[in-house]
Amino acid sequence: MVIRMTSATFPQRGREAWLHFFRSFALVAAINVFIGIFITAIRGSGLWENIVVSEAIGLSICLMNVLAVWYRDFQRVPLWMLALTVVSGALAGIFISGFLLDHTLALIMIEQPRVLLIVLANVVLFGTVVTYYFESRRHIAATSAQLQAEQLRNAQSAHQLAEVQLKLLQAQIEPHFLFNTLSNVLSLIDPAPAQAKAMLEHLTRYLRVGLQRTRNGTSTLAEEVDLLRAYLEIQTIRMGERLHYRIQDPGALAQVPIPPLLIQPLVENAVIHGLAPQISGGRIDIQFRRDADRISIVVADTGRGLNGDWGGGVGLKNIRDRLAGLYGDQAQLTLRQNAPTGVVATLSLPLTTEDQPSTGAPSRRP
Amino acid sequence: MIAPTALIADDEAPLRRYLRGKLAALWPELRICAEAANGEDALALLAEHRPQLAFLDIRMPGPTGLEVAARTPVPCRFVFITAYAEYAVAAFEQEAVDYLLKPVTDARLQETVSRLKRKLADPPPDLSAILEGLRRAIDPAPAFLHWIKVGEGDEIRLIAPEDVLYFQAQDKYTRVVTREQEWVIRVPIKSLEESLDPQAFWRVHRNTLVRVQAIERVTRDFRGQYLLSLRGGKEPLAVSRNYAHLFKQM
Repeated sequence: MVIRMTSATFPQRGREAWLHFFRSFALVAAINVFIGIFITAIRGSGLWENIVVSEAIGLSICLMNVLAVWYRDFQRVPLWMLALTVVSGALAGIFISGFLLDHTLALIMIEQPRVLLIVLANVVLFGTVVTYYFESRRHIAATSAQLQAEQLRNAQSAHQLAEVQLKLLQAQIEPHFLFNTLSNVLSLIDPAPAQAKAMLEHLTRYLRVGLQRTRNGTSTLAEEVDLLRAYLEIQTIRMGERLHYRIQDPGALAQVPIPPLLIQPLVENAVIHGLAPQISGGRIDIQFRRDADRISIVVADTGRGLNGDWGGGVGLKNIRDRLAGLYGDQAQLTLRQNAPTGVVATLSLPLTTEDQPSTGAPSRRP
Repeated sequence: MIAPTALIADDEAPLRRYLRGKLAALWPELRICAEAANGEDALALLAEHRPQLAFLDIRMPGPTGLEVAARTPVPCRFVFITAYAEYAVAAFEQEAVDYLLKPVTDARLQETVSRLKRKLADPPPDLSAILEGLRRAIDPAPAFLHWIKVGEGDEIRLIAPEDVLYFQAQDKYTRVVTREQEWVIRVPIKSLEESLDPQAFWRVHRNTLVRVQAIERVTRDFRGQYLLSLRGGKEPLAVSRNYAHLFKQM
């Protein structure tokens, strides 16, 4: 026989349940002694016999109960099943005690149905009360264990949420980028004031969009594209001919809600780890696709590829943590090698119908 | 005394021009003999012009500024240019290496110029011992693997450790099993174990490394062996006796 011990709230309940059963068996055995004494007191027959009979019956019921609990996978056992365990346990106990006590009692009961009925009535009375008590206790213990597990999970997800927010804060201002850009502006002011001005404008737009968005907590694809464009314009001034980029017009997807600054780190990685270390530079292509109820955002670069530091940064880890915090299992980030070189990063997010742009479409809500 | 010479290496032309202009104003005797737009050019120009000084941007295409300094073909005094990077700056200070912070300001450049003028008579220090430390300070290696590279046809795909259910050793190879798919990689399970977060991945068997969060429940058979059921309905994994203690006291 393979005993399968299952616990819904791993890890505590398996072991806890075992201990609980052993304690219950011991307690039942003790109670049975009292029942034996009690029956002797009111009916008079031999004390030893009464104790053996009540032990056999009580422990059989207890065993049946344990089996029922197993069968129910440690969930609450319904009342009818409890009653069944009492009756079947009682019958089993009667016959076991019959074997233990020279068949006398079993034989008497078979010959005189009235005795059998009296014994059964007694057993069902005691058995149900005791069983009900134990089952309630077990259920209370299990529920409180479950509650503890639940509380733990809640605490963890609150912690996770705080972490996600912190990471978003870190993502919104990358000091390296900020200082590099300012350094560029400074170097351009005298020789190329128009370019310096353009760069400052892009930086202002980038910061405004970025900071506002992160404070709001939500953004649309169009707004994110705006941010990406500001970022890539700045990098294009810095890198000149070494950087070319193209962002697909989001079209009908423009108003789709997107978590802020989710795409930006992918683009930043493509620039910093993909193209910038390459002497010849390269290009970045950003595309959006809709597949049924999902949106895919594809960032492809022709940089150094996965052999560089592309996947090493904390930026990607942050994206993954945010995706997990926001969508659970429903969002994916996959990275592939681009042909002939570079990386294709694909973000796949669920798109609920409520999130759809309401323009023109009749609202489904009253 | 002949005029000191210097090389400027930065991938951004405006920044090279800017630094050149500032240096011309603050140190008129200094002659900029060459400008490089990437690490490779910098190395070639160092060999060609043999300058006494080289201003190297740390982040450059090709070899980085630190790599250029490490591989220099001629003795030269290096000044590193870095954008804000708190750890890097601390590392530079500690090693007393010359550096400039972007954006380069007049005051700071003046300071550096004075120091360089004083030191120019001395032979350039040997940086080989400290460059590796600086490199690590600027690009700290991730504490644990962020991605596992798997081959998929002709493609390489990156799998995040968070997506892996378990790793299983198979001869010299290792199976990487996720909810949807599985791959075989050449990395032995021992070295995977060393480069993954030990809090996140547990060795439960000589050949099995499981992601703890992927464990849905733990069951026991009648012999007392623990079996791990994983989220995503894969076949249960056996926990060998040596690792059973991981699940016992819970």
